[in-house]
Amino acid sequence: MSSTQKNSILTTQNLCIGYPNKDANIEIATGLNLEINSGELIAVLGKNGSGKSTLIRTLAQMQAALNGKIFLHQKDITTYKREVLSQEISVVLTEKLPDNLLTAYELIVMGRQAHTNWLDTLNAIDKEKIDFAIQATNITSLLDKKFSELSDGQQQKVLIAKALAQDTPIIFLDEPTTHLDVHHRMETFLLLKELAHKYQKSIIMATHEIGLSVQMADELWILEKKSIHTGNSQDLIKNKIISQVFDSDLIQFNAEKASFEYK
Amino acid sequence: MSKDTWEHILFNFRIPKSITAILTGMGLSVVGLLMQTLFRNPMAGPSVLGISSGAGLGVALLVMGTGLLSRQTMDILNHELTILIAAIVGAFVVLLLILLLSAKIKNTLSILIIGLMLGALTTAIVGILSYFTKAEQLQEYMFWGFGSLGHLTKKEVWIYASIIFIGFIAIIPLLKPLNSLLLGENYAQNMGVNIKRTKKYILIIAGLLTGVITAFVGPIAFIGLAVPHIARLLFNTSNHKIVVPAVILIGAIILLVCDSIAQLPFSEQVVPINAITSLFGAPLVIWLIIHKKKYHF
Repeated sequence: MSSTQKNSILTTQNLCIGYPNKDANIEIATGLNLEINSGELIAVLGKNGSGKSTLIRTLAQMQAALNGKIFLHQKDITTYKREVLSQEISVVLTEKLPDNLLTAYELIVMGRQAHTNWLDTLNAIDKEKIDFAIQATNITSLLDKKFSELSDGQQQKVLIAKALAQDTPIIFLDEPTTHLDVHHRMETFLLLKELAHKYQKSIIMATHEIGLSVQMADELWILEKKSIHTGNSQDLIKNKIISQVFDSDLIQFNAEKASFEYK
Repeated sequence: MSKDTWEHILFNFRIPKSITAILTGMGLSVVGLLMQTLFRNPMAGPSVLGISSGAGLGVALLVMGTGLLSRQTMDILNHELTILIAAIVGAFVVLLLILLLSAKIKNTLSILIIGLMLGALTTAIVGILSYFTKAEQLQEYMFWGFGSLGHLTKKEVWIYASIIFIGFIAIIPLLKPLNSLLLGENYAQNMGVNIKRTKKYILIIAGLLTGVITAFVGPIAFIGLAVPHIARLLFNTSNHKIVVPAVILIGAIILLVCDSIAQLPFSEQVVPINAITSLFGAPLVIWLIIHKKKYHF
């Protein structure tokens, strides 16, 4: 991977993320200069409250940046229309879907709304992309089931398939493995890695899975003290960044095992 | 009974009444569905948002307020058309309030509660008004409040039908964003839906339909709330491309049946339509709450 030429899709310039407030804006992190390349799996790490979700939401244009700029294909992201942006960025969120009677298939088809006409009819390309999403995530057996009746792991796959059907170069995921057991966590990471490498998607996910991220992600973004450390796992381990950020009076990072142990 | 007599009854009373029932059932059910999807709340409906009460307040102000005026002005104002206008104005005042508040308040549940409070407020104002009103006007308002499908002339039925169908046509471009809203506002926005514009569009259609329906036939309870649930249960889907036509069909059938029952077959008595819809609607909603642990949209 590293030998191939990097194709930058999204960059940030002195980005400041947080929440607007009457008196003083609440800054979560500031001075962020980030770069997302195609075919990259990026894991956004950090303790609770470090701003992982805020960063994801800001980059996905679900909330406004406090300061600084985000460029999508070298163009200011705020100049994009919603309809155009929906063909560039798809999301998989932590929030539970409102209860509904949609089947897994109907939900995946909805990913195509970013491309369909006002009557939402499917053409040949739409069907092709839907089939691709179903095959890539391997969920043919789930299609006729109601989404709300699927297990957490199955729901996660369907949501990823929906994002794939949306056919965007960038996919943001906010803690996609939260409710999953260890097998399904690994399965999700493998799937995301495959999607990034095989289909040249840029996949950025906020996660608490430090161990899996160290093993699987092409790049780590570690949020700490309103700032961010970026780089690949080896460098961040060598520089002791991971230990510095996550070690506490209870745990320490074991670089060889890529996991935390009790002190 | 001569042929002329029953022809007269059939063509001038019964058929217009049945058509009114069909139009009303379709319209109220669609509004209920729009509200439930927009607010992601199974208990949402035209009456819950206070739009019906707003229309009621408009009519109350007209019917009872004019009682305080001189005899001549009263006769001029107390006309079918002015009642229609008063109800639409009342519905839109409440709707405008909700629109303004929804710009400030993002939380849809809060908006529902505000809608309920606006409803309570208008009921209170109507209560105070009725205290100072002569018995005649009060009775006129009370009769309007029972809801009646039978007092429209043929011409009025035509006007009524045209407005309802314009409302339905306006819903077609909404089918796609309504489906996206099933996934919540964040996903909908990510799929390219302009949430603010869609919300306004839905509220305007809902307000217009509710105002017109309430003006023509009075406040009719439970149809808007219950029919979307029945449609989703019967067709086992949330997809609006299926649920919207289903709701229109079922709404028409149910209010037509309710109207036939209200007509009390084999007797000369007519029961207020609202009594019948409530008699069936209220237990249905209770049943839904008890039997469905999860609400589905």
